[in-house]
Amino acid sequence: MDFKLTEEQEFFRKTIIDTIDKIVVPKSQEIDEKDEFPWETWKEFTSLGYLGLRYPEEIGGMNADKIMSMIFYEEIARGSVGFAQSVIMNILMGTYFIYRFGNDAIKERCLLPAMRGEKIATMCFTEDQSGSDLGATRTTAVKDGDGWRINGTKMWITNGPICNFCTVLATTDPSKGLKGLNFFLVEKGTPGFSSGQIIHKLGCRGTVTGELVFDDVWVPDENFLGDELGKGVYYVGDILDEVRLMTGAMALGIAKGAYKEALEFSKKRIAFGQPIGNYQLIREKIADIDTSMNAARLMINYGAWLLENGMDCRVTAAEAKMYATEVCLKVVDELTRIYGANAFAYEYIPQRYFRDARFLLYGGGTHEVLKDFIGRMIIGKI
Amino acid sequence: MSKEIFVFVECKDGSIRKVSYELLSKAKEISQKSSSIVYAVIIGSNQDVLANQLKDFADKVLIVDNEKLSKYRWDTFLSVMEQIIKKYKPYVMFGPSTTTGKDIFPRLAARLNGAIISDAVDVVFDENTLKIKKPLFGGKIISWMKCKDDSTFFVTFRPNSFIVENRSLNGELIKENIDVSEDSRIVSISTEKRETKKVDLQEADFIICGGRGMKGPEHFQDLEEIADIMGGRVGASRAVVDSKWRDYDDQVGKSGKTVSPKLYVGCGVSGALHHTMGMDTSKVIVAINKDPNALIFQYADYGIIDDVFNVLPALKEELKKIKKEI
Amino acid sequence: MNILVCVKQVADTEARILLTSDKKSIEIENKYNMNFFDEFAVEEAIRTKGKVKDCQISVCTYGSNKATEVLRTAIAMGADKAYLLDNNGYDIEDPIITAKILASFAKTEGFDLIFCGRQAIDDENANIGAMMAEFLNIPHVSAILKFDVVDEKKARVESEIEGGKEIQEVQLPALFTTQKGINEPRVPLITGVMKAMKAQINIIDPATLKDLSKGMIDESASKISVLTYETPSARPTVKIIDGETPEQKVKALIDILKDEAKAL
Repeated sequence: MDFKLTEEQEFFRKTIIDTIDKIVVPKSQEIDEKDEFPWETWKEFTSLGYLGLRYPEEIGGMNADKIMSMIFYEEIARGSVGFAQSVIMNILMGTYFIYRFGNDAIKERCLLPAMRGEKIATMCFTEDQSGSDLGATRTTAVKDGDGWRINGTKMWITNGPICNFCTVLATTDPSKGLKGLNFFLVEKGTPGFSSGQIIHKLGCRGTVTGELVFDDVWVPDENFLGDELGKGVYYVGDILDEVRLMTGAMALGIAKGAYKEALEFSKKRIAFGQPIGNYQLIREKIADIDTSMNAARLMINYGAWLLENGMDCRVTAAEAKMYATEVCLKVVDELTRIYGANAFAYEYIPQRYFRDARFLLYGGGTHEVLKDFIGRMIIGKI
Repeated sequence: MSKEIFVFVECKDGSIRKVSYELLSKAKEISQKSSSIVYAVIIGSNQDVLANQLKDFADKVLIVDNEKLSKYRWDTFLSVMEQIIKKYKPYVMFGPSTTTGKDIFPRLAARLNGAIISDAVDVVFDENTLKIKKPLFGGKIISWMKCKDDSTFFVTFRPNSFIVENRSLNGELIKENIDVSEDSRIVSISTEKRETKKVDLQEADFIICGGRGMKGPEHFQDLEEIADIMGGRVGASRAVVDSKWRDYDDQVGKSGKTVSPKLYVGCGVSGALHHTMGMDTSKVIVAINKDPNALIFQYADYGIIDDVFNVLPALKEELKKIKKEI
Repeated sequence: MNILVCVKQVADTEARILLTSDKKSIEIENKYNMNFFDEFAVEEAIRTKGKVKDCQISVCTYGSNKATEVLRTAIAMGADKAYLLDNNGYDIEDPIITAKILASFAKTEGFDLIFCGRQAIDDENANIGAMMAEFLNIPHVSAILKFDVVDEKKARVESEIEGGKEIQEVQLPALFTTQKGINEPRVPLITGVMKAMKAQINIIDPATLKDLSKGMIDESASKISVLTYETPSARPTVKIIDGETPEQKVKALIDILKDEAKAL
């Protein structure tokens, strides 16, 4: 058992912290206030090559292990969670199926430019009536000649309105429920593919989230992303644990930023003649924050370690996502208490953390769904 | 062992820099306790007038006059200082921690295999030893250091560390005839003076410093006017310099200049660590900021919580009145 | 052309620094960075490499094992080789000794061009560059703001001097210390980061270097010593000037500055 980062991981951590501090942190307030996709920051950051984090070196990636990936997700979310969402979409969900199932031409056309930040990727799961409940997916893909014809509307799509390509989940046979689900690649410019309403969010601003409309969109057979029909739900399972751990790591990132703010403030704010950090009730808050964040980090690292070593981490990943997110909500809440009324003012940072944290409740599964899943996995069939 | 204290006199634009008088004043105070004498060493070309001005501050004034020394170069100055030190074998030599001092003293110490303590802020003579006070980590820690007895000892001090005291010593002027050797490996192509008659930022008694709260470069005009009234300088925080509102020359802080004026006024300066580390040795600190929680108030002696743009016009008027009174 | 960059790992400006109870030593929170001014030195070396043929950049530091981190950062930015001159965890107080060690290393390897940061932000000494140059008997220019290689034997530099700037031509080999403003240090590319993670750091025992021996670089050789450390005396709490209007506040402030603080 070893809790220490390797010298390499430690160096990576330090480098990514510096990089985020230099490129993302100075823009974080502006990204939130403008609530527009930060193209300049995107170009500056993605030119460094981090979008290839998970992919092999041979194709220009970094082949980072899961621990390093979690460090990355945490730190970029610390910088700006809105920006982080767009970046991570290209790194993980938006390109996962392309890398795994795309033919060489598709990889050349989509994956490689996405790793360089030249193309923006996304993945479409959610619909108006389906999120965690994938079986309720209504978007259909029907065999049509040498390809597939896709119809449906996807909601809450990160990067949706600005994406160059997307991996869309559709059912090829509604009667089969989960076993009818499959993934297809749809590229910008394909007739019938358009973006609809943009969602104005409470937090995670700067990332463009919205609706994608598939109106009789025809794609060739090569755009079917899978080994055989009906396996889509299993592929989801293959990436779900990483997505959940990633969401937990992002929560930890927000919490880390909020914690730093709270700590600094409790040292500098004077009340009744001394820094408020001298008062026990503030110290209690700091102690709770520190304890719960350390616990959350251990869970995420443990999950990442299981994943890295190819072990079952379904329960751990769900627990870690849920726990880290709840910790994050608690930390941003405590920050607003320590900070006093200024936390409520737009010109100070705490309100941003407070708003941003809420969004992590939903990505990677709502906590109600996760708890049910965890309980079911533990109790088993009685 | 000789106990002479030597002071390297730095000149600029044809006059002696204030820091040199500060060092001579402190050296004399020490010499009175250690029963030794103070030498001022002035190196240059045609500086008889300046040398005369030093008489009040030193027991002896060593003058090295040579055309080749009309402009500072480390190679020429170093060759002169090396010979002087070899000839007189002083106990210690003080110098300023300025651009010039930082350039020549380390190399001099290395050449003479001496001991050096740089960027000090105080010195006391105690238990027959010179104890040198030097801040570390931007002032978070103070160290007291000493040199082992048998070495030639060099110390450089920050400007504004000591008070100038004229003791009317009427010191003896001694002309030294010294060969000046030049390092032919360095050729000066041109020099460019900054077009300003203003006092050096590090030597200014008054600094008014603008931070991000100044909102833009155009608002620094107010600060310039106030600095002019006070005969001081405008400083800037790192955020301001990074935004290119002001030149790097004006930057006060860890990555800029370390200053200790008699009066520092921070306007819209938040008081981030890298800034306060460069100014917290100022004698009196005033902060003007609309945010009552701004960190700068932890370092300030006096604070005004108000919009800096409302305060500055009033401040300008009041300071004008004061200057008229004096 | 062989370029050497000397870097130092320093405590982060936000790191907590505490005194031991005997006030004889200091404890630094585990937050370190490459010295601010050294980043300019590394960047300038990389830019120079881009302009001349057959150029190699070595980076070295005198420090503890922990300092390999800054060497890796330099490699991530674009340096080719890294050397740790291992101090075995013992920080020497005397800058002359550090400069001797670095100079001796430079002599052993042989360099045409050496860059150092203008000064370290922890001790603010600004000693090492000029001292190294002296020990190597090569010219130096402090606080450079522009750098160009004229040919293999000559460089042209603009540097900060008292009250202005100077342009000089300097015969190589020579040493230059970098000032803020000379360049914008790059953020490493991921390819650089990967190279740095795998890079082999050469570890050298300074006592084995040319013209050096253990006795010349250990504590007994130090010509200066620390008597004691102390924490700076805290400033009294700020006095907030009251008043109805900005004008009133300013008037009250001026009075206090005149009468109480004697600052006017």
